[in-house]
Amino acid sequence: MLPPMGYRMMATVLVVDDSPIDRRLVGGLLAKAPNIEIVYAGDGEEALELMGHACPTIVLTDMIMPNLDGLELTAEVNKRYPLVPVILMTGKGNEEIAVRALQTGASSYVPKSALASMLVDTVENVLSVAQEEQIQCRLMDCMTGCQFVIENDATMIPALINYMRSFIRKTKLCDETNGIRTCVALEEALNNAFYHGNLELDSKAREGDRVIYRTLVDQRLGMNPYRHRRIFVDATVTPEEGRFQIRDEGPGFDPSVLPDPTDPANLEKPSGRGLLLMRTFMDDVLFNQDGNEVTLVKRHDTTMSPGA
Amino acid sequence: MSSPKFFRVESSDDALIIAAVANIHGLVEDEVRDECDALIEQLEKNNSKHAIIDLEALDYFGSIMLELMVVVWKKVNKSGGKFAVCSVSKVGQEILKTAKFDTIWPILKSRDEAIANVNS
Repeated sequence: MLPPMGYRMMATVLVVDDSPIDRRLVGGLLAKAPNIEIVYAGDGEEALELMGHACPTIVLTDMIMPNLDGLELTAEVNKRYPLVPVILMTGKGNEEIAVRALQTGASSYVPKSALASMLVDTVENVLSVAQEEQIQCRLMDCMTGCQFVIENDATMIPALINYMRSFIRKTKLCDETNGIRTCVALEEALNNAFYHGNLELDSKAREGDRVIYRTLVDQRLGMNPYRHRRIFVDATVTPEEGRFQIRDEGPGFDPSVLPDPTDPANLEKPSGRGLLLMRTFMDDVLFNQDGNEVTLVKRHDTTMSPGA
Repeated sequence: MSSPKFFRVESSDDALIIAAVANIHGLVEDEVRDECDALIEQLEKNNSKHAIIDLEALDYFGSIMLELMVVVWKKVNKSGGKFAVCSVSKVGQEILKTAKFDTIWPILKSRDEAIANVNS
C-alpha cells in the first residue's frame, strides 16, 4: 500500500550544540514536527562517536563548539557519511561563515535568531530530499545486474562507463582501484564493439591517413547494414564474481590473429592494445565462437567487506 | 586553426606541455584524430622541440589515449626532440607498463621533473 500524501518516514535528527539551553530549545521546536526522533551531542567529536554507532537521518549543528566545530564536523560528515545532510545553526553576524559552511558541503543553515520561525520547515525540507536519496541508494544496494541495448553511438560509451563505475561501487564487487581497472577493460570492449564489431573497421585503417579513417567512420554510421547495429551490455554481480557481457551485431573477429602489441616491432601500431588491457585487468576474457561477444569476468575482491 | 578540446597546452622553454583535462573520458576514437591534428599544429606553431604529456587530471585512460601519445611521441622523435609523461595515476602506470611504453618513455612523478628531463 502506498503511504498517504505528505507522509514521511521516521527520521532521526542529531542535534549538536555545546549549550544545554540551546539543545533544549531546538529539541522543543523539533518535537512539534511529526515522526522525528531527536538525539543530542555536546560537540563535533561526540557527534561523530554517536554516528559511529547509529547513523542519524540528518545532523543539525551549532557552529562554534569546543573540540570539533560546526565547519569541521560538516567536512567530516560529508567525508564519512555522504548521504547524511548537515544543517548549520549560525549566530548573528556569522553569514560569512554560513557561506563557508555551504561551500564545505552543508545542505542548509538557519540563523539562531530565526530558529522559531525557520527551523522546522528547513529540517522538513532537507529531510524529504535526504530520505529520498537514502532510499534510492538502498535500492541500488539491492541491484545485482543491469542490461543495456545501445544504439551504435560512440558518445554513449563514456556515459555507460560512468554508470558502470557507480554500479561496481554499489555492488561492492571490488575496491576503487580494481573498479577503475574494470572500467578500463569495459571501455576497451565497448570501443571494440563499436568500431571493429559494428562498423567493421580494421585497426590497420587507423595506421593510415587520419582524415580517410574519420570519413570512413562517418560513412558507415550512415550506411546499411552498419547504421542499425546495436551494442548489448549485460552486467551481473554474484557473491563470487562480476560478469560483463558485451555483444555487437557485426560478423565477429578472430582474437588469436591480432598482433602482439608489446612486440617492439608493433609498439607504434594501434592494433591489439585494447584486448591486451582487457586481459591484463580482468580475471577472464572469453569470446564466443563468432567473435562478436566478449565476456569479461572480475572475481570478487575478498578484501572488500559487505558493509564497506 | 583548431584547438584541442581535451587538453590544456602550455609552453615551457623548448617543451610543449600537454595536460589532459578531466573530461578526457568523453574522447571517442575518431575524435582522437582531430585532437592529434590540433596538438601537432600547436607543436609546430610554438616551435616546440620537446613534448610532455601531463596526466594528473586522469585516474585512468585507455588505448585511445595511448594512441594519441604515440602520435605526439613519433612527431617529436622524428625531429630529434624528447618526450616524457608525468603525474600518472597508479592504474595509468599499470596501463603504460602493460603496453610496454614504460620501456621507451620516461615516466616522471611531477611536471617539474618532466621539464628537467626533456631539457637535460
